[in-house]
Amino acid sequence: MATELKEVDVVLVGFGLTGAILARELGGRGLKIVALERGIRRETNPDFAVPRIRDELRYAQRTDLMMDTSRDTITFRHRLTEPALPMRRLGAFLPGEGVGGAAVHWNGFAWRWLPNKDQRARTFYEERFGKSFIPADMPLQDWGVTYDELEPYYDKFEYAFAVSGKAGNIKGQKQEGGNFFEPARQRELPLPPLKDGLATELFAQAARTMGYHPFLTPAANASQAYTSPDGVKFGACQYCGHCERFGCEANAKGSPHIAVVPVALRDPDVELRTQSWVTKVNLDSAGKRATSVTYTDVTTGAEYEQPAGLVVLCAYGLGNIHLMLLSNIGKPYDPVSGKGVVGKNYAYQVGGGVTLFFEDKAFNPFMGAGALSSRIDDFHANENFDNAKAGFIGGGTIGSSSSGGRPISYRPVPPGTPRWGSEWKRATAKWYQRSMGIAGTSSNMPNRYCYCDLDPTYKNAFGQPLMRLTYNFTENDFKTRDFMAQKAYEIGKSLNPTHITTPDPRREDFSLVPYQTTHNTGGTIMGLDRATSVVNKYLQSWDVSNVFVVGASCFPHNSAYNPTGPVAALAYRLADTIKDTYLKKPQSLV
Amino acid sequence: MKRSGPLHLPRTRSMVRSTLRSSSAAACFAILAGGLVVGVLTGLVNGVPSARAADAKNGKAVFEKCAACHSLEPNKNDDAPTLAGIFGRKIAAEDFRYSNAMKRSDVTWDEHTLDAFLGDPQGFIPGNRMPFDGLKEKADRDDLLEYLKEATKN
Repeated sequence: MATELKEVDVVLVGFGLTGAILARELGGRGLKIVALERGIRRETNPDFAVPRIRDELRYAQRTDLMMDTSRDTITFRHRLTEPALPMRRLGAFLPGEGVGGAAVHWNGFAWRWLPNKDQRARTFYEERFGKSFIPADMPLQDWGVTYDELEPYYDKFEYAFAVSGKAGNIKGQKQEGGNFFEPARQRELPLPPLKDGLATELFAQAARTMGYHPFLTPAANASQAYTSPDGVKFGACQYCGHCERFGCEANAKGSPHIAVVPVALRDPDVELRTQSWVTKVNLDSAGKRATSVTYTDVTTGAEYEQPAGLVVLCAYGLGNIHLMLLSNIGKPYDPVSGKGVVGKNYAYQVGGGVTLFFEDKAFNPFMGAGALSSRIDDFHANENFDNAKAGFIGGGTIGSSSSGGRPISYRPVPPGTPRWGSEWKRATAKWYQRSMGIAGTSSNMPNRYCYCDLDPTYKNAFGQPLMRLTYNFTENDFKTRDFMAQKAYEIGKSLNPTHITTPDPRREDFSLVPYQTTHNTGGTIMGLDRATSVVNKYLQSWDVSNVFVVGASCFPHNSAYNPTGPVAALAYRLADTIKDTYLKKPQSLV
Repeated sequence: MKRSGPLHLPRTRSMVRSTLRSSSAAACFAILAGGLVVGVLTGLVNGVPSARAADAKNGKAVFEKCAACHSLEPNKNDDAPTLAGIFGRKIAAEDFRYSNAMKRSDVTWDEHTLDAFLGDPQGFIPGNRMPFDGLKEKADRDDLLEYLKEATKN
């Protein structure tokens, strides 16, 4: 029997990026807030101190900071006709676990998504290319929130999380050195760009010569010491090459455990309970209001019921979908009838590119910053890009990144090199220093048959059904990927490398095994119509008005960019929605 | 065994870093050589009083580079040892999980040793765990130390 606890005003399920931002923003106004986090709390010292954090085997290969698949995981299948099997090891994506969530081990790419191609995706493509341009099995939709509404919150995020970079557009004025195609910002970024590396510099030169518009991506890696508006001190990035999959030893990466958690926890009414696994949001008998959440203390197995006036799901995207399904909030999506909403529009991302090898260059790949990347946005943010001619919906960015060449994972060798033995050893020793990559990251449009539901067979450690993911690449994905990879090849070729790989145009099934990207989106999507979305434009459940959901699970599609920018912006905006609107009149906001 | 010392040449890390942008073997070599020269000069300059008057106000600004980890409050050793009372303190004397490199060194922090350490942390105490590659400008170090003299008084 669960022990019933004293009612609080707000329960935050998950204390990663969004939960910590909400606690920071909602705290200090007399609200009793409880944050329930399934993992542990880690601090720069001792958890991320050198030399322990430089353990590539522990953190990168064995994913020490990520979710524990022995307790809960997903099952996976490519198509409705396949049986789904549990993902027993992490591979394609790496959800975080613990305070700060995946934003502890992220690289730091801090993009803003596009006013038209993202926030108004369906309207944009229909207006530009005709009503029939979007295929019937692609449930693309507008978000319901505009870029202009999100802009102040992007700005808040960038200043709180120490984003380095150069604006490309301030209040409509194009700025030299930034992303030529980016949407307008109200002001410059808080920190100047990171130091260029040879790979990023060469890419930029080649791209510029070909008429494209290269820029260094905005990065939540502090290029110099910085104090945030909250008074949080950041150190300067040391280019250690151990960013993604690691915590930052120098307090230089914009991560919640330094940027917002300490500020949030200054308020004694904000209480953090770690190792507390939420299994369900409980509803009243009519199913119209959430009354409490049930959670298990994973250190003792004891179960608790925490009553609350307001429940915000702030878990990793996949966790948000799972909890909505387990709690019967919203109608589960059925791909056959197309009816229902929870689990709908799951999307991922597609990448492809080339590796360049130069006899006469030394790249020092061991140095790098997480989001040190030179990219072009001529094929996505550029609204003059002709999608009809290219034959796909969406777009991609292309670039070269210097985020670090770690000894286990970074072993580039030219095509034709044996995969083991003395010849491989000679090649890996030779080419480690002499190679660079150019790759495209492409958007991923929703597909009718890419979705999440509850698995009929497998259960987690709490006896609950695992979530089942049905996903595969579509022809639109391959076309987008191949287009970007071909451009990457052309840019690479223009640098006259000694060897260059060629793009791989295979039409292969998606694989859960090799790491691709931790950009899982959709499943609890936002929108203007309750028939096609889980939450309204304020991220409030259409069905249960005191449940809000925030995270990449609210994105109706996946863009070519990393999702952290809009995830954080939505969280900051949600805090204002709750403070300024919902708490004054706690009811449905639309 | 005592390792370290102000005349220790900087290890390769900072030199290699300066080659980050170089694109040819020749350029690498030139910068590598430059790094060596600078290293030697830094070693010789260490400890020599500068003719320029130190500016504590700029020192306070320079301290921002340290403040993400180092506190000026006594006994506050969260991400790094506090700097309160640093002048005259023996190395590795705070309640902090120091690296063996720091623990094995026999240094008392004063203007000269701090200047040498801050100029090239890995050169002065190889293998220490401070994730910071140093203040290359002598003027910045002078200003910082001028500021810290007051700011670290208990």
